[in-house]
Amino acid sequence: MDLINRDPLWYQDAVVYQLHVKAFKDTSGDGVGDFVGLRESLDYLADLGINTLWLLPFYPSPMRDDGYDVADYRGIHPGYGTRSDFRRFVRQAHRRGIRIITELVINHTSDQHPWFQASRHAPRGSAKRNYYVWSDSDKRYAGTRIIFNDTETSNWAWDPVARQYYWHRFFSHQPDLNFANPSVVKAIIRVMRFWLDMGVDGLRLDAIPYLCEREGSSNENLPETHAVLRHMRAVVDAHYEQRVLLAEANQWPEDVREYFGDGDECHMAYHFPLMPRMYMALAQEDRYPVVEILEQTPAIPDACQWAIFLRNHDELTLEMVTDEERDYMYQSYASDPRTRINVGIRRRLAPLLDNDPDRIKLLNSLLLSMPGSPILYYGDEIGMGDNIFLGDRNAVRTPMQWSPERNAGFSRADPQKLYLPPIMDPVYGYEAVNVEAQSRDGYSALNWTRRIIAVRKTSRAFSRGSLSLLAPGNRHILAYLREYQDEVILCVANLARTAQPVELDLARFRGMVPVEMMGRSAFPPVGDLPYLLTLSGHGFFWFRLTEQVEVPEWHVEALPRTDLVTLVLRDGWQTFLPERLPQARRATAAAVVRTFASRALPAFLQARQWLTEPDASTGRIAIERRILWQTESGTYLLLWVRRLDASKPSARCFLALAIAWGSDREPRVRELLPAAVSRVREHARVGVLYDAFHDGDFCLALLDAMARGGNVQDPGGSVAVFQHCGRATADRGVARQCPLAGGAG
Amino acid sequence: MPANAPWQVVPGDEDTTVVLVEQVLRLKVRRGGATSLAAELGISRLLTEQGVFLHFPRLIGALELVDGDHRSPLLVAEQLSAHQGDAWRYVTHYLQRFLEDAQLRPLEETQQMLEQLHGANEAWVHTLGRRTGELHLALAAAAPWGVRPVDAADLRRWSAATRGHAAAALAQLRAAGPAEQLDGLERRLLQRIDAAGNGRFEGLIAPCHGGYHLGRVLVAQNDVIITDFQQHPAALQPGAGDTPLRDVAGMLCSLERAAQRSLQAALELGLGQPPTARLLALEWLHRSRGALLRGYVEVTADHGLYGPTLQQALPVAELFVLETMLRELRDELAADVGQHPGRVEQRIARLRQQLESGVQP
Repeated sequence: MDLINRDPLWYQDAVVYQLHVKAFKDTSGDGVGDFVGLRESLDYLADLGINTLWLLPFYPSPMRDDGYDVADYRGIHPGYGTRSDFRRFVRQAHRRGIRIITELVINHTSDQHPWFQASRHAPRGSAKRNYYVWSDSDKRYAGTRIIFNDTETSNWAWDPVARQYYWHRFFSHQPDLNFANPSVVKAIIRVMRFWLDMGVDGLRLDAIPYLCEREGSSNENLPETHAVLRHMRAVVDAHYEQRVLLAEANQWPEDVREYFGDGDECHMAYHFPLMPRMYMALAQEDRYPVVEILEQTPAIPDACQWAIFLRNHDELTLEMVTDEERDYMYQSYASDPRTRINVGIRRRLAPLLDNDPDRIKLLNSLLLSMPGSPILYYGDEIGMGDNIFLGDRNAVRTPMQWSPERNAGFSRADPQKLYLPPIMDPVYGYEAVNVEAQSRDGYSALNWTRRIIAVRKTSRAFSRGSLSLLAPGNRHILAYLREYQDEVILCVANLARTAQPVELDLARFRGMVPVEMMGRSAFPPVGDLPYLLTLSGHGFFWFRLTEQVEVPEWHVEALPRTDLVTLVLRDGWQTFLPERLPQARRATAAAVVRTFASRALPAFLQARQWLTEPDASTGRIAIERRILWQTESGTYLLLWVRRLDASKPSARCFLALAIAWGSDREPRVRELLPAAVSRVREHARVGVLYDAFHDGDFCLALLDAMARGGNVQDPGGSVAVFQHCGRATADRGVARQCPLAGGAG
Repeated sequence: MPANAPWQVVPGDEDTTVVLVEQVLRLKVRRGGATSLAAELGISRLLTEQGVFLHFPRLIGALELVDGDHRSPLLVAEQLSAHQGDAWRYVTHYLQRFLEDAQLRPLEETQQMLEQLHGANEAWVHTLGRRTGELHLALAAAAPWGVRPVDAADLRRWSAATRGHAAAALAQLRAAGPAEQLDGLERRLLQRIDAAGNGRFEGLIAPCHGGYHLGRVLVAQNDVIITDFQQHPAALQPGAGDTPLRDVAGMLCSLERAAQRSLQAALELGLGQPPTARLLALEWLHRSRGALLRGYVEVTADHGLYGPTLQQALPVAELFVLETMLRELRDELAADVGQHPGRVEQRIARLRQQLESGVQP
């Protein structure tokens, strides 16, 4: 029994954790991590919330390129364990719902691989010789760029045994396989099937744009390469279910798009250019770099998915930025030249961001909410540091920091035997940064990561939703919507170090309630005006926009109504009591009262739902009692109204109304508009009739009347009695103790 | 109203408008009817005039409409102390935070620290129990027509009401699907109901809150303010009223709802293991109910509200708890279950849990 997600599109919902077996947990005591240690760490990974593991190469290798120089495609590096260990590990991972993606390094092999040794000794033109790309000249394929330009000066290397040059796009000890040779394609497919039969769920196709070569081209992204991929995919589809091919193509999005084909090449591909642009946007405190690349990102087939990341085992590659942008990135994130390597920066996430928790959280929030399956690099969940003195990219490949014990709890070996020393500096060292300590701290980086992964997994809009970028005026703010079926997620990120306001156009979602997903707090509903938010420096929000949640209880809808009817009060307040007017004026006043009861009151009551269920119509209103209450502070109209189509007592309502004279330009009148029942005009004077409970003077007058006792009478004979109750001394005097600012009215 | 005015209009319950004056005065206006304000006016007036119990908003005045012999309260004015909102929010937010944090820690570590972790919350619930007891004693003393002993007819009536809800709910459940698992539930329900209905209960009928739950309690300086009295004015007539245990049961139910709501919120986040969160939520409920009852007994022991000891009266309290839970189950059955699948099953599970744990001091 396992917890594996059987959805054929499981990889679209993947939260991937990338690790190197040698760096994670050593149980054999030889100073190198192994599969037994990894198996024993699966509960930690399941608790973290990830559901997919991507393992860096674990095959036999001379380890001159951290295992990407494979010497045996079907073996396990002896330091890491055996095939049985691997099988047990896969079974245990599946039981916990964790899928496994492994590396298929097919562009090249180690020069120690038996295929290359056979090739260099084989006669020219033979099938074995043709497993690799040989040439008598190192001038072929001129114009092909050199990727590792720090260490390599040519893509050709001389082999004294073969007495020819061999082609290599990476290190010279990594000769490229010759995919123009059908035997090579067949051999690679046999390797692929070997691991799929072993139970792995996905294969990362390393350095895939460089498989094939053709004179006169850049030797990247060639149609021949895509043909090889389609062949491999066809084999996967024909013989396996729920398996994934992940393309590593460090190319521009429009070129990477080709690796999805028509859904007949790779299921997933990395979105390389997005990563540096997230850092760039943070450094510039401007959303433009991210928006620009997202807008340039082409649509991909429905069954495909991007893979996105902040850091990985290589340098933070800057190949996919312009020269000017690269300079800016170096200045911002790699001012120490020793942190630079090839075309990138060899630093981990936390040191890149000066160990600033807010920026680390902000970038992770982007990673976990942008379109694609996020990849977390091992150790970044606890904020591990790096060691730039270790050479090559080993700075970011140090042992996992489990505890403050010797060797960071990674291994019981003598420290000298470790494959690399653990980080030991006072800021990032294992005594300060480790899993054990952070597990016990509810607000640690580790537990924050657990929370945000858990939140992401509550909505498929994050993993499968469409993306719509918003364009608020404040450019420090990056805001976007993720939508999937009936789910809508609003993501808002402040790229600036200072607090920022933002007004968002959410008109499409009017009436919906934003619920902040980390704390599940309901925010005021989206109204007619732009939605105003304030974010702390480097703050972010994820909101679920929903109609299923009630608006916050403290929220008061303060939008002015624009559909107010105007009542002409020729006789002032007396207009509401036509029977008291001279005969000649009664009909006009009665008409005003009818308008008041048939139009103004129903609209006012409907908005408040005092007499109706939500969504029900208030209908016609009858005025049962009217009292004109004259006080020292003003005159008020007390009303008892009833819904005409209901007989229940609960369909009666008490209202008290006041008038504020002045035009909408008067601040006091403008503030009262949300509480207005109607507009009023008395000759040239205009004003609003409004709910008197919004008037401080009215409330004071009520307290006064209660303190004194007494009553007022309506024309029908009913009496409103003011009562002073009990022994409480609190009468108007209590209210007077308050620093009253006075009210309108 | 100007933003800087000390007057603040806030939405009240359903069809109520509340005007706050610098947290000192509260004007409460009933917009859709007069019944509830009549209840509030009646009990508040009783307590204000008596002047013994202080943990409620004291009544300052009222506005009533008088039509012949009929009086309809339209507005009440009350004096408030500064407070920090209602206890439902206070308790559920506390418990949600606790459950979320606990799921990120080893269970053993949390269990070892429960005493300290829940200490402040339990102390507050204990105070709530004491204030509830003080309220009941004050109301019993102030009852205009005095109090009377519970008689056999009262017990029969209460028992019959709960039986009625049980029968109706079970019939609806059987009509809806397979019933084999319901027989055991029915047997245990009827046992509990009969144990209360046929048992001895020497409590009193007296005025009480009438709709007591965490939403009607305000948290103030680590103490409570009990608000929004719901007992119908008719209950203040001679011979009428209810047992104060009805309020106690109301609060026990409210604590259970708080535990469920918080648990649900914690589980929605998907952190940790659901059984762990359930275990911790139940543990909190057990401790909170215990703290409430201990506080209540400390104040009310030997006053005869519920007979010689609360322990002997607990079956009656549980009767009311079951009645409330069965009524809520029926409401759920009547609602569109298609909209919220699994809710009926959750209600049944909570009912079983209640039968399992009972009401323990």
